[in-house]
Amino acid sequence: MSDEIVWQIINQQFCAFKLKTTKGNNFCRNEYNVSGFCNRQSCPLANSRYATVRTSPKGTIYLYIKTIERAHMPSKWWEKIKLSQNYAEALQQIEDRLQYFPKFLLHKCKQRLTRLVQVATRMRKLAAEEDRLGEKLVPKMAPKVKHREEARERKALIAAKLERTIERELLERLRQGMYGDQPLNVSESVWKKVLHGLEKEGEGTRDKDLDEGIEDEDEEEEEEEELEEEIEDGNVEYVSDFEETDDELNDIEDWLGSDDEDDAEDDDEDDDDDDDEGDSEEDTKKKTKAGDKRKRGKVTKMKARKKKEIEVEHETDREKLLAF
Amino acid sequence: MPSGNKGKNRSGGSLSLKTSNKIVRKQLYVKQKKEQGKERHEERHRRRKEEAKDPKLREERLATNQPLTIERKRVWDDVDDDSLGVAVDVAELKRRRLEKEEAEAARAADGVAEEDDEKDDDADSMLDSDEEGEDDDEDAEERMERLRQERAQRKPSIAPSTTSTNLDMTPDSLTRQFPNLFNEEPPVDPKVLVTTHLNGTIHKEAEDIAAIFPNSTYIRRSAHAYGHKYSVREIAKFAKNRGYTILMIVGEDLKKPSSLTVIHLNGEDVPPGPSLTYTIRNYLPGKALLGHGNPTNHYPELLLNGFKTPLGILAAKSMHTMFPPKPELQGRQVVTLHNQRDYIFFRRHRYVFREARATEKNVVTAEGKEMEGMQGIRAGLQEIGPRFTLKLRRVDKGIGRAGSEGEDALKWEWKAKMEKVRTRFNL
Repeated sequence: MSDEIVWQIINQQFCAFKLKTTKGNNFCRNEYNVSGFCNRQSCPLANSRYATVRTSPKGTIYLYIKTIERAHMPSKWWEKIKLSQNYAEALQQIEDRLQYFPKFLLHKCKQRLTRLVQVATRMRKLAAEEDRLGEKLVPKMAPKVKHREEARERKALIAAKLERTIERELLERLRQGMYGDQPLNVSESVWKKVLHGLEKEGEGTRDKDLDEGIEDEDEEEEEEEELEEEIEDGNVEYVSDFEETDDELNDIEDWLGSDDEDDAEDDDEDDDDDDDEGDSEEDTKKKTKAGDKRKRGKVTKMKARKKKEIEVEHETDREKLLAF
Repeated sequence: MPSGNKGKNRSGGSLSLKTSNKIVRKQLYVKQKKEQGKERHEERHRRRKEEAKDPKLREERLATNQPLTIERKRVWDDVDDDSLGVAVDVAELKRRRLEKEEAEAARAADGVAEEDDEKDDDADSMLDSDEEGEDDDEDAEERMERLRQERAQRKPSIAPSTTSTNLDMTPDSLTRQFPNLFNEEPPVDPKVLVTTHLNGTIHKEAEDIAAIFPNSTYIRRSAHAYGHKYSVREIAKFAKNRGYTILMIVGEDLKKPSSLTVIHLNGEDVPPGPSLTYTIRNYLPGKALLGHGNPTNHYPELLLNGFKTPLGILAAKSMHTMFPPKPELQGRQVVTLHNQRDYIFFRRHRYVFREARATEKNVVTAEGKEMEGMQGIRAGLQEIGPRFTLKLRRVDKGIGRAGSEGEDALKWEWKAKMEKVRTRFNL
């Protein structure tokens, strides 16, 4: 009978847990409510015999039962029963416990259990997937930090003087002879100029014995030595050919490189493959290469053989082949 | 009335501030500016004349009036440690240690000072001659220093370039921590696999990034949104089985590449090695660059500039292994990874050594002097392909954060508080 009174008050006057929506639904915010609606059947306050299924924060599912016998002891209203992890067993447990309870409560409890179990399973699956993927979301950088880095980057770029530095580095390498005796990436006239300049400065004769073992220039010296020995040339003999090719040089633009490059390229078959690209540069290169072949048929073949032999030797000798 | 001292005798101020009549003050100000300008102009004119007669004066003036850049003000950690994360100049540290050893050796063996000197000669050539800071604690040391310097002067050695990194200078602690990275003998030809983050959409940019590295492939991360999502660890395993040496993951943000994770897959028997995570900023594809060139598939040369600390050397070595060890010089392509104040600028150029035009000056070294032996020679550069800036954020022991185990799983992490001091840099 007191249930009726309670319900009258809750329904007609005030219930702290009631939530009315514009669509005409009444929801109940009470944690122990089985269906979530504010109904005579579902109200945990207005029913002295009630049952719910809830989870603990850790994820274990409990069955809460409220009986009339404890109606006068609010602190002991809810009997908490841990349900089995096994879904079928848990269902059976609910059936056993709520055997003599209204069918509505039993049904709703089972439904809740089902849903909670499904949710728990899904969460576990998602967590496992996250773990497998191993991807953690990195928080976005604070705008203050982002702006600071942007500004610093801009200034660092200016301080870096990239093109000047790159140019300087490349010329340093050329000067130190890292590209070998007959470099593939320089035109003949420029290389002559470099050698001339080095002689003038008194650094024309490079001491190979200078720095042995662990030093700064070790990598460079090694490379230098290696490349020098690789590209031993018979070019020195064919003086007349040089002059002819020099004339050709004048016709080629800066970007196309030199005949020397082409000569060295003749040696490697790989380079032929590389040069088979449809660039206009490459085409003119090919033409000059063809021209050169006619002039220096034998020389190139000799060079090729020598180079291959030496390459093999050095691959076993050299400990470090560092790129620069 | 318009007098200079109207009761407000402000001593030390300029003439224009002494009048309270606004019109007169204006005129005085204009006059003052003119005079100042004239003074400065005359001063410079006179100086130019003097320096034309005696160029040494100019050199002296420039030497004393060097602009105080952040690079010059750079702050190093004052420890004798060379672990990752310590901002120590590795070259300097090595030099200091050697000097300490030498000093001890000298103190230990008094009579054999000369023998020590000979040993020092070998050590001397490996010392970077650019920076100063010698400890002259004792007279004996000073004497030795002088002897050493004399001997150094006698040998005509070509001074090494001060920007490019010397990978031989790696500290021992680094080689111990990352043996696969540093003890590669002989160096392996790299095989790079590039992919994106989950559900990545920047396929074009990722392909471009893959094209930077010779012998690389780009594979899409997901076939479609509902396909099986392979995790990075799984991909690393597959890649390793197929002989790839490096796995790269390009992250994106708003359809732009925003991060790059480089995972070193080592050979058999060795678990995947360090993974370095960078953030990408200012990504520009080749098309956006004016006068850009198209890349060929020649192996490029590599330029690694400005990596000074142990962490920097690790990054440099990592990038070194991403490219084939023997460049194809006939391709005349160079890839530059230039570290300036912790920002690594990536550039790709095609270069040519040519004679300087009439209007061009000679190339100048890092110190400011003209490069000897290279008069009238310049290198022309044409930029190819993408350009971007990298900033190192993390170094993990294994495959990213999830794939690393152990106490030292995270080797180094960037934290915003590292940037508090403007002059302290990590790389």
